[in-house]
Amino acid sequence: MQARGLRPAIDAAFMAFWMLILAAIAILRMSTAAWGWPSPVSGVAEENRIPSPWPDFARLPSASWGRAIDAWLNDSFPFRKAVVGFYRHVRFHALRCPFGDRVPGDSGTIFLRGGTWPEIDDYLGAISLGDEMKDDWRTLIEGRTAWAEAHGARYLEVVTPVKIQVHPEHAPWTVKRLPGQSSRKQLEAAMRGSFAESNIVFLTGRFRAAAMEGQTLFYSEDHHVNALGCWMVYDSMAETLRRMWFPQLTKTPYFDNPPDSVAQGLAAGAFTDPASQRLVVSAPGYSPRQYRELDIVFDERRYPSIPVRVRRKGDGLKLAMRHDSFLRFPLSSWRRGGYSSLAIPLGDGFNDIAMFIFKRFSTAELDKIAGAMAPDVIVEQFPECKISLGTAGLDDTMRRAAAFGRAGTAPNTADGREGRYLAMASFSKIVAGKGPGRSPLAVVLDADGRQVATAPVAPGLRRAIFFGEIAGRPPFKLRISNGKAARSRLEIRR
Amino acid sequence: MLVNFNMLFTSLTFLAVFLPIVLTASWILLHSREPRRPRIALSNAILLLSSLLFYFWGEGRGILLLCACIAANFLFALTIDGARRQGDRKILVVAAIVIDLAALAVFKYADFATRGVNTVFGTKFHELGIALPLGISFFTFQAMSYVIDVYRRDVRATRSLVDFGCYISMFPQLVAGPIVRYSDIERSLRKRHTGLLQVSSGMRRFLAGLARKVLIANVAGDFADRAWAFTEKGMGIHPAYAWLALSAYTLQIYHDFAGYSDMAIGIGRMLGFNFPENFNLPYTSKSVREFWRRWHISLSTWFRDYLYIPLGGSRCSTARACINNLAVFALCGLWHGASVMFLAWGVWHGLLIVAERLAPDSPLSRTRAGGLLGYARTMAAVALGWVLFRSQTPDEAWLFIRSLAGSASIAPETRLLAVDAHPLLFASLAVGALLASGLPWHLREWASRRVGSGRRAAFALAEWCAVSASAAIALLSIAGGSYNPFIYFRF
Repeated sequence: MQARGLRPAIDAAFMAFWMLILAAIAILRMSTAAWGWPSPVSGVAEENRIPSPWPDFARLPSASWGRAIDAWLNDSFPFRKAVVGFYRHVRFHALRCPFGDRVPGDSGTIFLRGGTWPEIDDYLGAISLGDEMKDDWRTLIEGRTAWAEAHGARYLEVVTPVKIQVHPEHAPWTVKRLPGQSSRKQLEAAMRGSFAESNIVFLTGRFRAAAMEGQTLFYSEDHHVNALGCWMVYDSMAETLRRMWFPQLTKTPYFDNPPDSVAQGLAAGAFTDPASQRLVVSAPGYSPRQYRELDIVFDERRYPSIPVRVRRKGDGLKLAMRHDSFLRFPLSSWRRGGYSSLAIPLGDGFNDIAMFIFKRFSTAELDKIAGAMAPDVIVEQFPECKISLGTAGLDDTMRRAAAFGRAGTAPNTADGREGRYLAMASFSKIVAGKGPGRSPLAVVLDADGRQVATAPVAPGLRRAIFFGEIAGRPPFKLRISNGKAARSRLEIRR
Repeated sequence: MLVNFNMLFTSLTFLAVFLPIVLTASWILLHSREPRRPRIALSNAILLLSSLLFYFWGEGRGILLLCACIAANFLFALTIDGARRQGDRKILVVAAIVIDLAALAVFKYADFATRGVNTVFGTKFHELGIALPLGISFFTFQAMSYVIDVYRRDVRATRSLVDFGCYISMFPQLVAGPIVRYSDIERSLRKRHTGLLQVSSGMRRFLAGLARKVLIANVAGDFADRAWAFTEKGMGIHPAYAWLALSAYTLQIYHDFAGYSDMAIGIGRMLGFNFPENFNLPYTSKSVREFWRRWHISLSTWFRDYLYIPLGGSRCSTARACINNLAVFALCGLWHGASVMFLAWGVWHGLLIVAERLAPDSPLSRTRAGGLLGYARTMAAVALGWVLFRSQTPDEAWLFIRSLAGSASIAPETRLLAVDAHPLLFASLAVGALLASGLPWHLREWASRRVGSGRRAAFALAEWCAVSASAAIALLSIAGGSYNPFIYFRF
């Protein structure tokens, strides 16, 4: 009799348990809203992303309402942090199973594969750069270099390492025993002996050397460099710029244990904030500005690609820099407030630093930057595992610039022989003529009293034009149609 | 047919919000042993509304097609039921079937047909580009079975639009079956209650299905997807990975579909309905014919009752029966999706059935060795069929088969598969294979026969504990799956 009565009791107990478990999320979520209970929602902040908000149904198509609510609930169910933390621990540390594109290695280190961050693919040599892509990369760097020089600037491409190349000892055992020819090694080989070889810097060697000495340069569960890694990138960048073009640049030293003067912001130095794990840069001369103050606006304004401008005391050098989150993240959080306290470990020398996140510069965007701030240095940074994703920014102008850079010099006075030449015209400033209805501003190249080439140009500081191949008899003469220019220069090569 | 739907049974929104609310409402209304008719009517109305919300959640405006299907078939069935002349009834049932098939043709097969015509005749007709409404194959087949049953006078047409809407759109089986006949649930729509025994059994079934789907099908599917992603790009893979991927997919498709059916049947029981079983250990079959008696039973019986038998079935000449088999399986393949590969999969199974029909009955088949041979032969044939089913194009299928045979050139990129061949995959495959073998069910039967009445409670407790532990891990996996750090492109 007792046994017969026990079975329904067990059924009822388990059913009640499961109904409670299933309904607990909704009940707790509603209770916090209705009675003001302390919110048990937590976790997303630790993932350094903004939690999915309650959907704005008026703006969403009806078919995506469900997905939006799912996303909201996934990010805001009670005790999420504990649940996610436990699951992550089991999956990554105990079972060491990949989770989507995240692959756990030793010591709780997570690596990425596929998609936009194919570091494992690249490490395994699974990515082969074709001859065409290698040639494109070479042309891009050479074109950028020539273009920057024509605009009175220096150009540096910084290829930063990825975690698995620096810390392969933490990679999963199935991966670390199969290293292949990475795309960085392929690009390094392709750039060797090129016109712009010194304008591209690969930092993997320096990072690996530091890692061999026991330094940790990446966050364990994230693909970004940590504070020390970030400092090391900037330090290498400053060192290269100082060695090649700007001896006046100084460096910001890094301290494992900062002295009081650095910690209090009285002396220049950098150190890792133990609480936030972000890089703190102590630089007395900094006067950080809000991101809104930068007046160089591109078409795409997707947050957080909004550019930042930092002004400070310095020697008058201006730097325009493009990078991805790789260097931004260890400096400040994604939250908008983080921008106001941005400080960059580039030492003295630069007094105006404009930073553009995510965007690979097109020629039109470079024109905008040159016209607005006339930078002395243009730096582009990208991680090595993205080399295979292609050469954004390589267009006709860059190809012409690259061709001009490779060509042998020829005096404009020349020998008076009819021939085919490459020409580059540069101006310290171009001003458009006044009056409505005028035809567009253009640079015109004449020879023997006849026009041999023309190209439109935007008004502004430091303007340059790379003409394609022109045929004519030197000397060539420059003139501005519908405007005027200050301090022009014409260079001929062939 | 793997389910891709917004509010999946394995989503937090479904598990934590939708399901508890619907179940609670149902229990409140139907907990008494003899619930009154108004209570059942109200319960049906709530079920209909919640089912429509469930569908709207994932399909948005596609709900209009579902509503149109419900309204049209309801009216046709009523008219057929009321018509006195057999000729009128026939015209009406044909009209209803034509409308249902037209909906399928437009929304599911129009672009496939256009592509086919363009390829064969070199024409340049534009594709309609209509998004496939979710579950259209299921709800149109249910609607057709209903009007045909009314025409055959197997069931009477219902006068309640709510009851009929409930039957067609009932959320547990709306997007992935099983295909329920009206006769299966007609009585429950009018009279049902949710007793403790039924609800607890439904909940156990639901939790077991959830665990099966999340812990076996999803883990196995991850590896299969990654392996097939390489062949989709034209890269051959190592034979070891190819066999592992085929094993993973073979288990994935079974546990995914069977797990979903378990969940649907479980929810149905909790709501007071008894849905038919959809799978009965298909991988223990000794012939392909047996396989089809055990695999997606609701679909195979639908094709048998509404297509194969009307075509003449097997009570005709051998040649005609073979043609019938081929035609039915070709259509069965196309039912799974508008693609040449689904058609090829259907034809492959049709050919296997025909071959079994034509092959002489060997005395060996009645021995134990013959049984094992039949089992191995069937598994090999079915697994090979899954290659056709999973591949997008014939080239891809051929490349995968060559990879299995070790004759494909192996791309260096495929070394990445080493990362995915982790211990959890092998554990999931082992458990999946064990479940597919039916051993746990046989043990359960054996134990329940052996256990005396005094120990039934202990047996129930053990069963609950096993199911609860698996489901808890599955829930943890679902909730933990929201872990998503540094996805900065979300901004």
